[in-house]
Amino acid sequence: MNEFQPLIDQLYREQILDARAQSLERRFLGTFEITDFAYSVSRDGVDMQFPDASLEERQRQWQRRLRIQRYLSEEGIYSPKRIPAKE
Amino acid sequence: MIVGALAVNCYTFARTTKDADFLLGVKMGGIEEVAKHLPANFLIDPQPRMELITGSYRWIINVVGSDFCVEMFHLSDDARHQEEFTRRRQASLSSIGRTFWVPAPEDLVIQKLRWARSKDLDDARNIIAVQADALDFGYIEKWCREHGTWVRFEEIRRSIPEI
Repeated sequence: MNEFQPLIDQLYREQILDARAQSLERRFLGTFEITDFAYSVSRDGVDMQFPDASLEERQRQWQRRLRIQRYLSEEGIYSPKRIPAKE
Repeated sequence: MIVGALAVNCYTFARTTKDADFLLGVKMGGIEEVAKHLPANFLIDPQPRMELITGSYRWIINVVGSDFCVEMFHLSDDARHQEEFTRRRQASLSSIGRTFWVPAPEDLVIQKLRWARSKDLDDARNIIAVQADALDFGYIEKWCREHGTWVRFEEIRRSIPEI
């Protein structure tokens, strides 16, 4: 067993017990809060990587990341799964 | 009926999502009728896309000025989709005075095991862990055996630590 597995399990347990204690409404609305937070962090990442780029260019980079996310997420469901090239 | 991550999050803890997914119990042409009633900044891509596993169709709606998008799924003739729609549950958001429909948690688990991307398997695991004995395991087993995903279900269940 991975030496960190007991800690991983304990953190997961706490997450599960927290979720059980929340109302359906709280869990549902939490989706938007956590997504807003994740998007803001990701946008900060674009700003950090392209500090001298114009606002339009940073927006273009952000949109590119969203497209890549969608592409990867849909592979095998809405587009055929790619077959890895042989070495 | 709300499906996808928003529906999953009703039964487990919040995770991020890039869109809001809706399953509409209407005929194919009905989607266009629904789209006519959307706000002007909701731009629907008229070309539906077919989901390769169950053959159901999806329309994407981009919301001008937002990074979020909306996906509308057509209720297919697939027997499980039909049963999932029949078993849907009503939920309410008292803070904004709205009610909405979501699938039963068992149906989300069954669908997630069928798609089986890494995020789907995480969702299935989290629903099973949070809902635990509230789930109808006989129903899940019936469909998982039909889809050949029962072994996958058992592996996930075994991976959940005792809570």
